[in-house]
Amino acid sequence: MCGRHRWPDSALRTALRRGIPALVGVVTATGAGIARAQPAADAAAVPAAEPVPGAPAAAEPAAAPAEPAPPGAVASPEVAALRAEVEALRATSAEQQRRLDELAAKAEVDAEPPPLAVEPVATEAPSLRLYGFMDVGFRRFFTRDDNRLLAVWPPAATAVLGNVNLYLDGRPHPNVRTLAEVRFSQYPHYALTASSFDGESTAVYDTNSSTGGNEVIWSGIVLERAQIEWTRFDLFKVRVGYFLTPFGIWNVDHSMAVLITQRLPQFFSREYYPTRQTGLEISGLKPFGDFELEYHAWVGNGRTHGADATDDKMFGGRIVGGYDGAVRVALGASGFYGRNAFAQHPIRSFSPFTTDIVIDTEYDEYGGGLDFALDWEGLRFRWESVVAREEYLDGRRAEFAPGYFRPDRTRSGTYAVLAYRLPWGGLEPYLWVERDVAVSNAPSTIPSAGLNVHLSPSIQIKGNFAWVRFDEPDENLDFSALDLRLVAVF
Amino acid sequence: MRWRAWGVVLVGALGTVMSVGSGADAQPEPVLSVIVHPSNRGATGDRTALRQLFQTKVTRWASGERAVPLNLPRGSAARDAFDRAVLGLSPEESERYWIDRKIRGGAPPPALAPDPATVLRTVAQTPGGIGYVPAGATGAEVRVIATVRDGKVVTE
Repeated sequence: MCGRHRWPDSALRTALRRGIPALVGVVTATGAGIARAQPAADAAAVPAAEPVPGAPAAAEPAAAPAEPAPPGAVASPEVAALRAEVEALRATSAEQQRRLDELAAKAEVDAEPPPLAVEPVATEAPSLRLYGFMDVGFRRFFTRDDNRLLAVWPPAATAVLGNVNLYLDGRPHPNVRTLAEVRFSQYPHYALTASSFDGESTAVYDTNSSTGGNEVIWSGIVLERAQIEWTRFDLFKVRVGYFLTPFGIWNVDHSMAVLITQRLPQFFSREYYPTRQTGLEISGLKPFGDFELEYHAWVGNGRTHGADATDDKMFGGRIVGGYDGAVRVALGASGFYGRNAFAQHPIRSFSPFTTDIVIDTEYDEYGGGLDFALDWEGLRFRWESVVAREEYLDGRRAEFAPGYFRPDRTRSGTYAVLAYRLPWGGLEPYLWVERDVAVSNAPSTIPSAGLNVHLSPSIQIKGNFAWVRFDEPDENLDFSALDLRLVAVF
Repeated sequence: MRWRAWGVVLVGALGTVMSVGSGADAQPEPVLSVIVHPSNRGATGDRTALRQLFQTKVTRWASGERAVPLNLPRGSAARDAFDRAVLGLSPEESERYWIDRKIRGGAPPPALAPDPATVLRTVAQTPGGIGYVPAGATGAEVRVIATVRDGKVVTE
């Protein structure tokens, strides 16, 4: 607030709202009256046949400004007095109009400004923003009775609660940002695991309620990411913590609120690459006109999200070149390499206290991927391809079931999705095709079709039907899936 | 629950969808002045530079000063005109853009100022500030680097 006096906002607005029209009315009426009186007054001295030089056409006599009498015209003292009075009134009117225009132009500017909705610069007080997304829906699998994976894909219609994700976005310093994303879930209530399909209830008595007898479902919070970022330079940002691995499109877009389809590619759901890292990432972006180049480089614990058992780390990177014009395109390449080790920590003795580190699983892992994205008006196209390999050290193969050890394996997957946003109804039909080459079963091909309905930018209905077809000899694993979701961003 | 019930739900949902329409009235777009602090002599008002600043892809001026872009509220004529001309996005696309960005965990959008007066005041008081206000509302307290008119950015 400057030192000079300012009207209170409401008072100024009220005064202007009431005063300006009134003042304009007075001025207009005065001016019009003068203009109307002028010809009559002049008519007494100036012959009507003599037009006033420079005056507008006769069709607009009332609006025509009165001009000085032509040289040589004879005016009576009364007319001269009237003319002087008119000139004075005109000058007063012009001055009032000028001041009104100034006031009107500056009314918004001089009004007492309300506080900013969001402070443009971080203040001393740390700020926190909360937002997120959630989805609920319906799903049904269709498969044959002898499908050995019926336990995973039971052919029953079911309502589903998908993601309920909350972001906690803080800025404790102008150059520092903290971001935690958590997912609220019903798990582990009747959750299936890789080694057991016998889900168990986590319902417990709410012993703190008034009756103590009602049941509540005890459930967990999934940590999606928790990171601290230093953003002082656009070309060199640093991120530490637990973050989404910068790999491809799917893992970065992360949510069906952003992704075209809710259907997960096999390489993502089976984690052909580690989708998260605990470690450090540097990144940057450099624009070159409408082109831009973005890079990410990271080092982390690899698949071991907790404390690492060895000094071996996983490294990776991603580079994206893009054009952001009438057409938006981005071409990306990602890669990673590292050694994963999983250890047991047996206690050898309690007196004296002795422990050991026994690495029971250890393998090298590397992979890469390419991706392409195109946005042109209502058209969206995404393509992504991933290949990854695991090579186990002798005697340290993963035992995924008693007596069953994992072989070295190469897995790959690719998908392409083409969507078009129709100009009405928020409708966006799309087609998807995916090819997956795994080891545990024959390769599969997954055509899919879907429809997104954008009720608003933050609310969508997403429908998808997929046909999952396996190559020989695993045709009995074939199934189809219908999935409908209501997705909201808040 | 049988298929008929789910069908009713689906038809109802689609009916709701189809009732959604865009009732935007065609109105002349306002002429805007893109303003910076008077001390910011290195600021350029070409569209690409403005887009990078207002997409928060570039957060610093060439001098190293923190860029502080200010947006007007969504739905205001000035905001819509600016988004179309500079970002190349319709109001809905712009909203979608920022939703996608925040869900990805990307950098936050520009700060939101409630009205042009606040933009003018803040830019005048912030060395790295940049914003846009209706043309003609500016004075010596800021420097105009571009004009947005009829969907185009004209560098001053």
